[in-house]
Amino acid sequence: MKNKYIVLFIFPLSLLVLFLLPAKSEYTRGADEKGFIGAETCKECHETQYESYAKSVHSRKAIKGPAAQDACETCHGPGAAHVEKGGGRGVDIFTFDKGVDPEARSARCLTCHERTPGMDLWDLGVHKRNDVSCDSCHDLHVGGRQKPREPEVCFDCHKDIKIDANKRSHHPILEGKIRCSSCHAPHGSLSKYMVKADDSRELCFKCHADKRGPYVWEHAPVEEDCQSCHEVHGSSHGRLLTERIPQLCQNCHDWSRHPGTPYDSTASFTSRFECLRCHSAIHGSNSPQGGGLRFVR
Amino acid sequence: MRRLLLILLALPIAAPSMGFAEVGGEVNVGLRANDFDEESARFDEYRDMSDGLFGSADVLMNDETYFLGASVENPFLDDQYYDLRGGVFGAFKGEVFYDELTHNLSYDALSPATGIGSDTLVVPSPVPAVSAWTPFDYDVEVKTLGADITVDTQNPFYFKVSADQQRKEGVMPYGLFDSGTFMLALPVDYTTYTTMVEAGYRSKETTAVFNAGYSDFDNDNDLLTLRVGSVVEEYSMPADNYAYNLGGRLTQRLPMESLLALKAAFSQNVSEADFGKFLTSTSPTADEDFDGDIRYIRGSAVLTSQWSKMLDTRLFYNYIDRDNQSENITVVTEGEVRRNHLLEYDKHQAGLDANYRLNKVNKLTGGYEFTGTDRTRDDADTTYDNLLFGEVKNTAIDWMMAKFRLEYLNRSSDTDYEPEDLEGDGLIRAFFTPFDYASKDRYKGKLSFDFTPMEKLAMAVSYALEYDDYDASMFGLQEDFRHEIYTDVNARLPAKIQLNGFAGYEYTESDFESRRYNPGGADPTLPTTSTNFNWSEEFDYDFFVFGGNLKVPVLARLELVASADYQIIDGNIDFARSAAAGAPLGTVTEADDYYKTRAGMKGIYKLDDHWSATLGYGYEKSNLDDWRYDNFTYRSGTVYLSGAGLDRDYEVHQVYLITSYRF
Repeated sequence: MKNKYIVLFIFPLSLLVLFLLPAKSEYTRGADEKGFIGAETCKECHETQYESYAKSVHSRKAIKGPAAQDACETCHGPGAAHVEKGGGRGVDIFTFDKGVDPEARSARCLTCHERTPGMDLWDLGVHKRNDVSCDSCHDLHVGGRQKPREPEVCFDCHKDIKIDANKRSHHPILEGKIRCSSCHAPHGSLSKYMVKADDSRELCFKCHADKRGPYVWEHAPVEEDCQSCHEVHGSSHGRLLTERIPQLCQNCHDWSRHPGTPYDSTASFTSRFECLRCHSAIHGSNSPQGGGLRFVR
Repeated sequence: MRRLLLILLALPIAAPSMGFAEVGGEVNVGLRANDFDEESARFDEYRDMSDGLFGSADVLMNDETYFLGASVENPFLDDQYYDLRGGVFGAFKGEVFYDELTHNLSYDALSPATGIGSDTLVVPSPVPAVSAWTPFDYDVEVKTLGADITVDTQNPFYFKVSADQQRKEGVMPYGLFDSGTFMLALPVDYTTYTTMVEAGYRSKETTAVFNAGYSDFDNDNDLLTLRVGSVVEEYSMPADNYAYNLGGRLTQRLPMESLLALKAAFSQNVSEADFGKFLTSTSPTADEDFDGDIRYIRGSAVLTSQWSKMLDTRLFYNYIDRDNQSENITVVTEGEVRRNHLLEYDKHQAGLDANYRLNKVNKLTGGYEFTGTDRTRDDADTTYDNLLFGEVKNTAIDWMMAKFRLEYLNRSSDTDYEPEDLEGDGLIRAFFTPFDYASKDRYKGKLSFDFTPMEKLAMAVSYALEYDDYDASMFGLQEDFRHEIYTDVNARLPAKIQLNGFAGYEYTESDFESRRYNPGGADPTLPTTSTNFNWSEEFDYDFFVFGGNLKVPVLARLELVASADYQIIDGNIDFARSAAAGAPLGTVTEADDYYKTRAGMKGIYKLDDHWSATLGYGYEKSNLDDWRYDNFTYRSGTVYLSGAGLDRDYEVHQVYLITSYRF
């Protein structure tokens, strides 16, 4: 078993050496770019913004970012005309205000970040197609980590998910143990709901590998889509189920005797305790006995 | 773990000598006390809220080239978290983390069995009185140790690798069927190892990415044994398994600002169940093993194009093929020969959508999507989904954005049998259709508004309606309704007062028809009797939630924060059947009925730019009522319950004091 993991690490480590080849800077300013005034001039009026920039990763000269280019004007464009007109919000300067075309705002960021791993899928993602721009989530004028605060930033738009995550049965999103980005690729993906896996079922198995099987006795909906029975963010029913039991099970199962029996308020106490009281191996069974077929072994 | 903690604590001290020009961070140390009027695992389901010390620390150091950071949350508690991260700007970054998650499911359960937590549960015969049962808690601890590295220099290549080990330990509620029905405990002793690698090449026009992953799941217990007196029963457990995937994608920029993305992936999932370990099993006799082997092939192609400044389109195709190479097992049980069914399916999905900017303030979106699924499943052989949608977005008023979306889905399904070939109990399949494969029409509409009438005021309101009509199903779900209304407000008032609020209402209703019958009575046209009858139910839920918080700076250095939220769900299930079947069925008026309220008040006093102190009080109360818990009894006839979920209500008062230092 240990040898298996050693092999798994040798391959990546050998690739690591390959990728540590010397870097080559590719940036050169275009000949037609005029009117640059320098960060010190910007700072005279925008000291707070400058100070936050100076603390951020964007100010590091080691990256091919603003510090290695034109500082503030790398993102906001040349500022000479803005200064000549005495400043003012949006006066001859590019701003990341709400009224500015989101695609234009993102385009500024993508000038450098289009080659950030994963950003090649930005054009395919739901966010871009719904006019979400980079600055909708990222606040660049802060020091330290510039990753968005999760889940708060996501909940600003995804109000239905915020409600779900607050429900009685939920994944530990509010408790900070699962981040939205643990499961979703916000910059784009080829998968539905931009999940970080080939499909949502594969995503679930990242934490719930015990449900993966393969089983001798398969429960068909489990093998096709976990969301046939489970909500992903939160539910008013136990175990993140889409419906209360027995209603959920009876939505698919009718047969002689108990599967088709109405469990109304006159049902005996022993009849109340859920299908799973006996059919506990509901995700699949490996029992060699026939009970496995009905997920009771 | 302690070593990691020591390294972490040493970081701020060592920072200057390590040459980091900038050091920043925050340390919080808190003390809290809880007073429980009623206690439940639901209060600390995913968190350790023990009395005593708690805290967190975060430090980030950097200079022009390097950065190094560390975080600690709730050290020594059951939800502790540590991470250490660092790297070289523009070249390399890495992280090592350790995370503990506690999942408390239910406290103070009772068991007539000894050995809870092990793979052998022993119940004396006769089963002793409840007063002699042993108390225990249902909970699972999840401990994850992991690391990831990204190498991304400014050459065309990048490389990522991550690995983690997740260990789960505890017990979960599990029903076992022996010479009685027992709600006992499934031992959870799982370990999952996961490794993922991604290597990419990118140029201005092209990106090519190769990725691979491997996941290995080990269960310390192969099977669960229940002994009741001299009767021994054995139950299968989640089997050891592994899965790997290999894949790649290519994105290519094309003329007309188009982007073509292609993806292909292969994955395999393998497990082996050793039947030889089932000592009480008499079948199957020929083969000691089950060889599980499922393979998936997936492919995707997407083409996005910007035809003009006004029009962009997306054309896509996705394919998945599940090839089940697992072994067929034959068993003889209850006088019948049974063979496991190996599910296979392939799914094709294709679609086109377009965005058209009618003018500066109006945007139209529309699209069509087809999904066809072909399964080796006789009651759901094929499913064809045709989805149409359209959306209009308007920003004509500076301070308002309005959006209206309509969606229509038509699903048609087919079975792999002819109704006239069905007989016996199986005849019901000619009339009953599982809901998730049933033919249906679905209509969805959503209207939403975002308002920003002032720079410091933002509001949003949305309404959504969904209606599913299963008109081809005689039995099964007939109709589904869902209404959702959400609203929220964020305001920054004068004197630096901040107000945030939200509210939501959801209503769901489902109509369902079914048949109760004894063997031989599946035909719904047979005369109604007390054991053979058609019945219906209507279940509906009202869910309401609201909450908010208010921040008020009362003094130059003192800020008060008040917060509260409340949610309630009221479920109701009405039943009906013909009078010839017997007395009217009784309405279940408590169906997952639940409410939860939280309120809190805290004062934050800033001593200076570095130090602050927070004194707070929190109140939380939760209550769940469901008919199945009414007149609960641990034993009834040969049914023996543990009381899992019985501790569903709690009421807690909490006070806390936190000292924070920012640097």
